[in-house]
Amino acid sequence: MQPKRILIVDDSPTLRASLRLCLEGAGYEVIEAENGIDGLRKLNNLKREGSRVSLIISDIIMPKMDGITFVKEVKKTPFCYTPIIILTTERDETKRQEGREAGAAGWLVKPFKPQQLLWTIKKFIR
Amino acid sequence: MKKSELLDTYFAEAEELLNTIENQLLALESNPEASEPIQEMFRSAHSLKSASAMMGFMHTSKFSHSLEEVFDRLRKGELPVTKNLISLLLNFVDFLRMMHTNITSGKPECKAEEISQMQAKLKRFLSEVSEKESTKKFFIEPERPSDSFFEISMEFRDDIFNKGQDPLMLLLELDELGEIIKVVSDISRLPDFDNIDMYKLYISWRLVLKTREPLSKIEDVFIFTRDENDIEIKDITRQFRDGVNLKDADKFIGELLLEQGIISEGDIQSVIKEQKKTGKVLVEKGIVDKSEVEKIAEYQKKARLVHRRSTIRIDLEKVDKVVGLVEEMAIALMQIGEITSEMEPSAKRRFEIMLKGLYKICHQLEEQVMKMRMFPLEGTFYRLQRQIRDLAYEQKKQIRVVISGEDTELDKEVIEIISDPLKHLVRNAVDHGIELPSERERLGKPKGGTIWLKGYQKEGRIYIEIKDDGRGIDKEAVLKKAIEQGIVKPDSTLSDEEVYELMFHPLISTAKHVTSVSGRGVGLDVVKHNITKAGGRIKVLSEVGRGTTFVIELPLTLAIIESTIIRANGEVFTIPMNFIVEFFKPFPHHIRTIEEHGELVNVRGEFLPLIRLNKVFMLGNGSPEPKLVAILKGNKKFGVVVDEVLGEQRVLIKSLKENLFNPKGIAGATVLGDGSVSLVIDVTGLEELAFG
Repeated sequence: MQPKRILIVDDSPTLRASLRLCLEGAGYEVIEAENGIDGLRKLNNLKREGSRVSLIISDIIMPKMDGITFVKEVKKTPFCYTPIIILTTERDETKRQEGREAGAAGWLVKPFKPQQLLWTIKKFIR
Repeated sequence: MKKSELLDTYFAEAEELLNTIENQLLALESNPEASEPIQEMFRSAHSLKSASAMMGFMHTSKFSHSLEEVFDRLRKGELPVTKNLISLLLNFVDFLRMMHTNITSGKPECKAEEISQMQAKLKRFLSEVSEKESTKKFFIEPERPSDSFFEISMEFRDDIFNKGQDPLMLLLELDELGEIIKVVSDISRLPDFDNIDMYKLYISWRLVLKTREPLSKIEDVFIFTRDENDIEIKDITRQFRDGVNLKDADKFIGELLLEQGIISEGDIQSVIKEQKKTGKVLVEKGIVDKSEVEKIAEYQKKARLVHRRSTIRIDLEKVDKVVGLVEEMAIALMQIGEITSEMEPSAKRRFEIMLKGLYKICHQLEEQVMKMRMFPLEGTFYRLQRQIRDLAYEQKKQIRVVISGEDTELDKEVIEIISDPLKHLVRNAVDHGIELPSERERLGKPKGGTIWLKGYQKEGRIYIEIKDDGRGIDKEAVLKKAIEQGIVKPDSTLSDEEVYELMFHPLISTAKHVTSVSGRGVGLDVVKHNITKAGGRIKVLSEVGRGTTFVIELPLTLAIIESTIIRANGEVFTIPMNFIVEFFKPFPHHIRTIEEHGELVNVRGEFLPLIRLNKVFMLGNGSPEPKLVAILKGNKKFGVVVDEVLGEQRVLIKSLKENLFNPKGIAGATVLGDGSVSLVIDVTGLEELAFG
């Protein structure tokens, strides 16, 4: 079976690297993007290849295009049914709500432990 | 991706973020009205918080969180931008950097009390600010927050395990937030053993958690479970500590006054409105001209354009190995080239064309690899800017720093060697160059002084200029001092350049003050020595009352140097070209021996000390009559007796340290085109060896 593909959108190289470490360890395939714009570009590339992505994990506070706008933009693309998990910190309660309204399926609070991440993902990928 | 690589990724990111925060703080200071630096700092502090938390560096994370909160308040205009606040925040950046250094060297981040000290500092500052905000002063500031107590009751759906969740994990997580001081398990729903369904949960809990974390942190533990299960969190701190609600300790005085109905929302707004931004106040009070503020805003805009670069970290050793290999390849190619003389003409031509192509590739490869050793001056300049700022603040001087050409790149090793000299020069400029505001005003100069840091590349050399618009160098005073010290004869006439050159003389430069008006204290001779060691030169230009400029000229790199190959006493030596002034063919009467001074050579009327390498390096007897003299200039000019000049070559210096002791006067060894090995002369070292 083909490994499930996950797109991670985060401006922090550390966050991207640790997500990759954890996700690849669990057998997922990972695509990275640095911000919302980059994320949309990566999705567009996938579309052109006719490829799919099973899940998107996105940070909220990012330069160029923030996570909330990114979620809204994704909802306008053929990837609108792909579940999106947003990464937040404890202070972003309003942002979390905004993300939910924009169409994010779930959220994860930084810092998280690998098993928390994997549990959350399993809720959305069968 | 391995764990260690993840750590490296984090190190690089954290460093970049800290630099961004520091630079933006300085940008904000020069233009307090700007909002972009605050946004940028907020994002950076936020990123640092989450990245360090992911890596488990909780102190760093917690501390960046405090910073983030301050930036958030700045962003919302709740805090005024003041010099004090920026100083404090710079302090915090230093503290974060210290923790970062500790982490990178494998030490613990910091001591717990250090963190609480720093945080107390911030709290004190913030409470002072809010003290000023409030017009009524009778309210007593509550104590610092200590432990809070929460009562948490958890009743889960019995099919919780099917959702991939486990109450045990939640309990463990709660335990990490503080101390669970009481747990009561309700097992009343537990059926008989025979009827137990092992996939179901029958137990519920009620516990008391003692913690310093806020309520939101506890709520986060239940983020995925709260919606579908019965979770109740109650703050019972009041019951544990009567009297004051310790939660109020986190609030600002204004907030508390408002809550207790002592003041109204409107009162607070009007007080906040009265606080003006520093830039505006400065203009209004006539300290700074409006055009100055605008100019700075313009500069700041430029500063913002410096994009974040995406980088990877490579061990310098690895790069050097590649440099070495490329160089060996170049030498091997040269040797192959020599075979062509034995080939028949048609094959020779084809061979030479291909060889030419290979040369070209090799040269490009060399260039690219050398670029990997190169770093922009940016970091050095910003550190200097910070130093200037701190010194100026200490001495109550107003100094603006104008940076240009910070993207000029040079060898990392060169940067390291010149970083101390640059610090010296900058310190001199602040201490002795720029006058106090009152004095400047009296002289009809703008109250605030300016220091320019400028980097540029010209003809394969790097130039760094440090310029100030201070009081300049008093030539008379320098000359007087030199005469007093017996360095210069009383009646001699010196050119401006020669007088400035005197400033680098140890007897003058280490003098505390040349005069009370123009002292340029700290060891300029050391500055010059270090720059010369890096194969560079330093020059001074100055005008009394108008300011001083130091121009430093440096080689692009230390690894590969343009050299002249000579033979002396039958041995082949390599001399870095930038130290060679000329080659001089003396007649016997040009050479004289004078007691005390030893051998001298008369080069068109200038008597220079003469060195014989056989004596210095103990090589046996040389020829009695020197046919050729190389005139070198390290700290001073001197001559070296040579037999002949063999040619010029770009050479890669290899250190002898690993195989030999570190011989003085020898910088290392290099492989020449014909495959033979030659020693590279360290000109300043040779000088010390010969003249002591």
